[in-house]
Amino acid sequence: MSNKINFIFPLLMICCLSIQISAVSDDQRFSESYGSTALAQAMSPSRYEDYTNNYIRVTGKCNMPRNIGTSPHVGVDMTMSAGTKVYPIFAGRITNINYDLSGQLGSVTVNADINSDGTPDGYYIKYTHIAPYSSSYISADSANPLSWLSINEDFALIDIERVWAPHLHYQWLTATNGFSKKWADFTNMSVHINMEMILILSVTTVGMMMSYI
Amino acid sequence: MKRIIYRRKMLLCFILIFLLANMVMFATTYSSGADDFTARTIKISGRYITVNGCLVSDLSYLDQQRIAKTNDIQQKDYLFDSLQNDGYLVNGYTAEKQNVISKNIAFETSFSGQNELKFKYIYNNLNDVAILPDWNESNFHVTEINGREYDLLEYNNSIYMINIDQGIIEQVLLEDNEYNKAFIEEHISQMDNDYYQLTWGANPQPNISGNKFTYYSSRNALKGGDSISEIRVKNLDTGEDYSLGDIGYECLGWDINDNVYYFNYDEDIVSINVNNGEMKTVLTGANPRSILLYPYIAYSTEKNYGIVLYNIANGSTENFNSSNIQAISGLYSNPAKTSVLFQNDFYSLGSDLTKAPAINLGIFNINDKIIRFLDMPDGFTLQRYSWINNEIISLILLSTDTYEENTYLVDMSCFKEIE
Repeated sequence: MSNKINFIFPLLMICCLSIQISAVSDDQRFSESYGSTALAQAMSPSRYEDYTNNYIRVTGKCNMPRNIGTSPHVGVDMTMSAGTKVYPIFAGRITNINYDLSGQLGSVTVNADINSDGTPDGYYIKYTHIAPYSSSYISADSANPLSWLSINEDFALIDIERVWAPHLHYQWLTATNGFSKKWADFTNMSVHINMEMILILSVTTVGMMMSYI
Repeated sequence: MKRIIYRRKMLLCFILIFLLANMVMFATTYSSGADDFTARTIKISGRYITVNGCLVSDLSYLDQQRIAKTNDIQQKDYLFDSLQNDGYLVNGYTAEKQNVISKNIAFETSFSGQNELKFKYIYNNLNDVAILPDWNESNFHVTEINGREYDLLEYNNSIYMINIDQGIIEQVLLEDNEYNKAFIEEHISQMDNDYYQLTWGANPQPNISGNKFTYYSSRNALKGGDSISEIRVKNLDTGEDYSLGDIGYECLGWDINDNVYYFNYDEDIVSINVNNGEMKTVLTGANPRSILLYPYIAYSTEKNYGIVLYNIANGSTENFNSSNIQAISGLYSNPAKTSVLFQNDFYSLGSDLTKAPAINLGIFNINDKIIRFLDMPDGFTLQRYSWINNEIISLILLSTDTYEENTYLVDMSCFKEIE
């Protein structure tokens, strides 16, 4: 009997853990949450000299149908003058830089740290129509992982008019060269799951110990 | 019976080992560097940013989360209004708490009629105001200007003069013969507003004496030519307002000879004399993160190269390095322009993409040409750093564990040279 409890109790706990990890309901999967589940408020990509947010005008919304470029629009357009410094909306690790400005498509992609724990969280933010800094320490060498970008660290200038009027386009991708995602639901599920895992594993351990007694 | 006793002994041992392991983990987490760091600094609970020699409260990380999670705009406004506002007057190496004063100022805007803005501020030790950041997205920004009773207010694509004590905001960029209301109304209807956003005035950069400032404008787009932006000069004594041409946007500052330094679209640093319009290329292919410490321009370049000092007067370059330096960024000079504060990510390059950075702060002294570093505690991310005065810096650290934010005042003497 005791041996059976020793076996069944941890098994039950592991089952509970599995259910907890996969317990995302359909209404959660398909819901749109306009900022309501953000772990942190993103900063503006445009700043004043003291780093405070410069709340600039949005001229193109995400998923907006349009006649030029991609339709629907796969990111957000913001009015910024040519030559203005661009800052990250979250800190993170730079994963890709495109220095080719010929089509006004210079870009930087950042694996964002959305919960400010100092590590990237797999939310890739791509900033386009910019001239990435070529003389700074940011390396374009693909053999070398790229640098960490702090929240108040500028990394590019808005490019001059080559195809379009100067502006910043930025979008959320699933990976460095992945699909664009709509700007919604910045929930970092892993944080909650980790907490649940710790709790449940603790209960499991105590349960095993109790059953052993 | 013996078996049960044996099991209980085993369980007791297990619990003891578990508790001991936790104690060791706790001790290593909270003692490595942190105690040493806090022992040598003044700690203020909460997030405070530096404004005009003072510390003023900013939205905390947890408040940001709370507000971000609210869809209801009225609830957001309520949360903003209910936040605790305060500030500290920093005098030498002391911080004295100050009460925040609120004032609403109504004024005539350049293009959109009457408006009213709400300001919260404290006084610094020169009896000048330090204004709290604008949390309600009304998007104003104040730039201090030397030798004047007012500051410059940037708001809604124009620039104003503001005197908070007297509760006055006045237009500083008035219409002139070249750009008047009739001209604007005639041409603005022909423009595609989704394509260009007209800026009447932005990014004001006052000179050292405070009698002139340069600013960015895109009003020349109204003329329909190729140029859609320009840097203009406003003389506050004579009222003159004239264009220096389409140069760039980011300004490095002024020298005492009325030369203003801009970063242009070709990645060069250029100087323009605002009196005769003479333009010179000071540095080609410059780092946009360069700072002006006349007669020097300081910048970091490529990895492991340390700090570079370029002498504008004679064109010479000096490199300064340290074995601790890996990737330098975020250079800021103290008000006296004698020291440069920067961050150094000392094992970012060459590490894997998921790894956290290891950032510490450094100071480069222009006089003794030595780089010194500050030991940073573990378990925190560096949110912000700035000079408060010529000797004291402030930095905000966020605990990656509890998301608690604290502001620290650190004396320059805490920075040590690394052999």
